[in-house]
Amino acid sequence: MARKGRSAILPTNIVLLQNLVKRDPGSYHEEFLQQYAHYESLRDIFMLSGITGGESTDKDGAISRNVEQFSELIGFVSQVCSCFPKETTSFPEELKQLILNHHKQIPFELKERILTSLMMLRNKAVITAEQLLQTMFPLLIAYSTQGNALSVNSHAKELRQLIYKNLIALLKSCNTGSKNQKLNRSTQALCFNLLDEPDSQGIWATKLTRELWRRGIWDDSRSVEIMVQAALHEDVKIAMSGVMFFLDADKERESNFEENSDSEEELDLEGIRHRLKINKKTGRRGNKLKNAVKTMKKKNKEDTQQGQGYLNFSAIHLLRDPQGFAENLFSRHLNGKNANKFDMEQKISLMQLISRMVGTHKLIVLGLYTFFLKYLTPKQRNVTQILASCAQSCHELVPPENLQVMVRKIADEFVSEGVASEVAAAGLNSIREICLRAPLAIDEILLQDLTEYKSSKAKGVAMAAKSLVSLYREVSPEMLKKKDRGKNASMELQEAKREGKITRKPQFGEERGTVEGIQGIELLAQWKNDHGDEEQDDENNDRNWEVDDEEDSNDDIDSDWVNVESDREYDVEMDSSDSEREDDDEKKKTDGAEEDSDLDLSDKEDNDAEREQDQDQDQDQVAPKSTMDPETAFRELASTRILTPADFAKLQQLRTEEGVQKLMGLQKRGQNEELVDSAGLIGPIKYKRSREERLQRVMEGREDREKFGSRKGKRNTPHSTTNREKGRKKNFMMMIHKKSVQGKRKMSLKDRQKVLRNHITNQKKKGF
Amino acid sequence: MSKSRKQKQKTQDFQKKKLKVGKPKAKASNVTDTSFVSRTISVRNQHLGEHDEDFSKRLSLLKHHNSTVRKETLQTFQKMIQTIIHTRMMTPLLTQCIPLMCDESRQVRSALMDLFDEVGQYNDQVLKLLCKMLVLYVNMAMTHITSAIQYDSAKFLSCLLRYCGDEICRQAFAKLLMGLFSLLGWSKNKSQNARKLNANQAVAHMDTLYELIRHGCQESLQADADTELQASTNQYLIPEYPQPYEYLKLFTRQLQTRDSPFAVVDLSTQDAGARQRVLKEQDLTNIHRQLDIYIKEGGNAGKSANSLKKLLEELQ
Repeated sequence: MARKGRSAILPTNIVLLQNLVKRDPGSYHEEFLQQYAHYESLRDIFMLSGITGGESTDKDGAISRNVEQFSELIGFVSQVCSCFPKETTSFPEELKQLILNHHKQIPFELKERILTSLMMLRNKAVITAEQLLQTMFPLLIAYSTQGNALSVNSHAKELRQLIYKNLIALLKSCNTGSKNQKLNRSTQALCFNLLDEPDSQGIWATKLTRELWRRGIWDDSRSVEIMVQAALHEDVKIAMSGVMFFLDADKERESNFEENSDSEEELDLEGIRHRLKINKKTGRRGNKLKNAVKTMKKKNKEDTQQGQGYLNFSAIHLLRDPQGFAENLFSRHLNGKNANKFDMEQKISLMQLISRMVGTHKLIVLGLYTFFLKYLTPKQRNVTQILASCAQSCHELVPPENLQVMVRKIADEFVSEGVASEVAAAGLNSIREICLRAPLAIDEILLQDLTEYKSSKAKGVAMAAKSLVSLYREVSPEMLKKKDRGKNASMELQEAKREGKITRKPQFGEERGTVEGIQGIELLAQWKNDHGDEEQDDENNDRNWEVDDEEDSNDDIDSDWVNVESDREYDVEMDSSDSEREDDDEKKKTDGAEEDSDLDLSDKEDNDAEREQDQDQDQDQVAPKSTMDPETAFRELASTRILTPADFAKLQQLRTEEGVQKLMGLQKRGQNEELVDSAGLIGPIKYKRSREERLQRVMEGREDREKFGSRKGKRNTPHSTTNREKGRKKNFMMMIHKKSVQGKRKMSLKDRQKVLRNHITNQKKKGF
Repeated sequence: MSKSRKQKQKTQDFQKKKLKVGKPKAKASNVTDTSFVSRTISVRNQHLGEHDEDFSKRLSLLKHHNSTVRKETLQTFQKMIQTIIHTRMMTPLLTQCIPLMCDESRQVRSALMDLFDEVGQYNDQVLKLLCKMLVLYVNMAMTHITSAIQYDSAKFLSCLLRYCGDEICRQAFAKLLMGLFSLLGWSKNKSQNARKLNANQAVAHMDTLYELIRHGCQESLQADADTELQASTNQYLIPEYPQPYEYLKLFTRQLQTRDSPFAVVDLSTQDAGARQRVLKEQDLTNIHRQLDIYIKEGGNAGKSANSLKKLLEELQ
C-alpha cells in the first residue's frame, strides 16, 4: 500500500526527485536510472548538434531549452552520484571531457554548471583534487588567451573569475588542518609550467601564488621559487607581479591575519566573573561564564596553533639562491637594453627589491651602486624612494670604493648651500642611513664637511647633520672633528692614547652586530670581587631571583580559579607557563617550589651541585685582580655561575655609571633588514598652515565639548516662533509709537534702575 | 500705490500676450526645438511584400512561448509539405521541429506527429536522413520525467517505424528496446514496483514494441531482396542506406569513455541476427509472464499482448 502511495506522488520535476533520491536512494533507483538515461540522451543530442552546426549558431532556440534541461540534469546527477557510484563511474570523466574539449560550443550557463558540479564532486570525494586541478588549469589558460576571450558570448572574464575562485577554495579546503603537500606540489608544478610559456599566461600562476601566500596557505620556498621565476620573466606584467610579491606580500599577509584576529570580539571574562559574584547566581549566568571560558580557551588554542602551524618567514628569507636572483634581476631588468620596457615606477620597485635582497642577505651586486648614480639628482621623480633603496643596498661587506662614489654623488647633488632645505636634509639623512650600514662609505674630509651643516638654520638639515655626528660618535669618533666628538668618546680616545693602545677603527669586511659575551661583564666581575664577602650565596638567595610583579600576573589570566583551602596541604606543581618567566627554567623550577619554604634546601640535588660551584667560585675569587679584561671576565663569570636577574640589574647600573650605554644602541642598529623609510628621509618639515587647516585643527579640539559652548540659537524642545521672537522682528516704525516702547523713555530713574537690576539677575539665572 | 518690482514680475507671467497681425505667435519659453540637420538622406526600409512565401521566417515561431502558436505553425507547415518537400527547407524545418517531441503541450506533440506522418507519406527519405537525430530525441522523450511525454514517445516511435523502420533498427535497436521495456515497466532489474499503466498506454506501448521487434528481427521483411548474388556484389555498389560505415564512428564526435558499452551495441545491431541475439539476452521469461497477465485481462491490451507473444515465440 505504501508503495502505491509513493508512486502516486512521483515527482514531476527534478529538484523534487533529487530530494527523494537523496533521502532514500534504494527505492528510487529506477527513477534515477531513467534520469541518467535522459542525461545520456541529452548528452548525445548535444554532441550531435555540435556536428550539424546549425544549432550552435542560433543559441537562443531549441538548444537553449535543452541546455537548461541538460544543466539541470548535470546538477541532479552530480548531487546524487555519490549514492550510485557504480552507475555513474564515467560521469565525472564525461563532464571533464565536455568542458575541456567542447568548451567553445558550450554556452556559458552550462560551463558554469559543469564547473560547480565538478567542485561538488570533489567535495563529495568522487573525484580527487588533482583531477579537478587538471581540469581547471587548462580552462583557465584557454580563457586567458586572446582568441577565446574575444569570441562572442564566451563570458571569458566571468569564467576566469569562477575558475580562479574555485581554485583558491579548493586549495584552501585541501590545506585546512594539515597541509596537503602532494596537491600543493602538483599545483606548484603546474604554476612552474605556466611560467615557462612565453606569453602572458603566467600571470595566473603569480596571482594564485600571491593569493595563497596572503592567506598563509602556501608558505614554503617552492612558492617563493615560483615568484622568483615570475620576477625574472620577460613579460613586464608578470615580472612586476613577481617583484611586487616580494615587496609587499608579507605585509599583506600580516594585515590579513590581523584582520582575522581583530574580527573576533574580545570577551570580558573578568567582567562576567565579577558580575556573577555580585548578582544572583542563576544557571543561565553560570552557563554564560562557562561558555565564555570555553571560547576563550579555544581562542587561545587557535592562536597558538596558528603560531605553530604557520611560520612567518618572509619571502625574501626563503629564497634559495638570493645572490643569483639579485644578479639576474639586475642584469636582465635594470641594466641591459631591456630596461626600457619598464617605466620609472616599475624600475623603482625593481631597485627596491634588489636593494632589499642585497641588504638582507649581504649580497654583492657591484653594478648596482653605479647604476644608482644616474638617478641621484634632486629633480628625479620619487627620488626619496631611490635614496632609500640606495641606503638599503649598503652593508659592510661592499667594498668602500663602490659606496664612496655614491655617497660623493649624493653629497654633491643634494647637500649644498644652493638647494632647498628639504633636499639637503634628504641628502644628509640618506648619507646617514648609508653610513649606518657601511661606516666606511664616507671619508673623513667629506664627513667633516657635512657635519658643518649642524649649525644650519633649517631645522631638518641641522637635525640630519647632528644625527650624522651622533652616529659617528659611536662608530668611529676619530673621524669627526675634535669638537664634535663629545665627552665620552673623546675621553675614551685620550685614555687610549695615554695607554698607547691603537684605537679600534672600523675595518672593511668586519661584521658587526654579532653578539660576543655580555657587555660590561668585566665591571660586574670587578664589582663582585670588591663586594664578594657581603653576600655569600647570592645565587641561592631568593631575593635575587625575584622579577617584577607584572610578569607574574600574566599567568593567571587564562586558567580557571582554584580554591585553596587554608587547612589542607597541596602538592605544588609548576605550570610550563610559569617557567617562561625567566631565561633559564631549570633554575626556576627548584626556586619556584621553594617559594614559601624558607631556604629549605636539604633535599634538592641541584642545590648541592650549586654549592660546590660556589665554593669553587669563591676560591677563584680569592686571588684578586686589579683590572680585568672583558674576555677573561666573561669566561670566568659565565662559565662558573648563572647570572641572576639581580646580577643583570647590577650590571645595567654599573654600565650606566660607566657611560657605555651606547653599545646597546649600536647592536640594534646593525641589522640590515630594517627598512629604510623613504618618507622619513626628508626629515621634519613644518609649513605654515593655511586658514582652513588651522580652523580644522581648532574644530578638532572642540569635539565632544558641545555643552561648554554657547547656547545661542539652540532650542531644547522644538517649537514654532514665540510671540517674543515675532515682536523682535516687527518693523521699527510700527513699534516706535507703541506705548510700551514710549513708556520706557518716560520711566523714572528708580524704575529704570529696577528694570536694569532685574535684567542683570535674569541674565545671571539663564545658565541654570 | 506703486507695486514693488517683485510683484510686477509675478503678475507678468499670468498676463495674456496680445497676438499681432502678420507676426508669428510667440513661442513658449519652455518649448523644445526638435529640428535637426543631417548630411545623409535616409529612406525607410522597403518591405518587399507578401508575394514571396518565405517559410523560413516562420521557423522561429516553432520556439514561440505560446503553445497554440507552436501548434498552428506546425499545422501550417504540414499543409505546405506538399510544396516544399523537395526544397532545401526540409532540413532546417525538421531539425527545428524534432525537439518539439519533448514539448509540454499535448496538442503540439500530436501536431508534430501529424507532420511526421505527412512528411513520411510524401518522402520517407527525408526522415531517413535525419534518423539519427530522431532516434536521439525519441530516446530522450522516453526517459523524460513527465509521463505524458514518455507516453507519446512510443507513438512517435511507431510513427517513425512505419517510414524508416529499417534505418532506426540499424542505428539504435538495443537502446530503443530498453527504452520501451522501461516504459512498460519490464526492465531487468525492475522489481515489483512497476508503475501501473492504464490499458490504453499499455496497448500503445506493446504495439510499438511489436512493430520494433518485427522490423528489427524478422528476416522476412528484409531478406526479401537479399539473395546470395546481391550479397556478394552489394559491396561494390552504392549502398542502400546512407552512411553504411557509420558504426565505425570515424567522423563522429564522442566523449571517450574507458568502456563505452554502446560502441559494441551499435555494431551488433547492424543486421537482424545480431538484433535477435540482443533480444534473447533480455529477460524473456519475465516478459512472457507480464504478457500473460495482459492476455488474461483481455480487451485491446490482451489482443496486442497476444500478438506480441506470438511474434516472440515465432522468433524463438
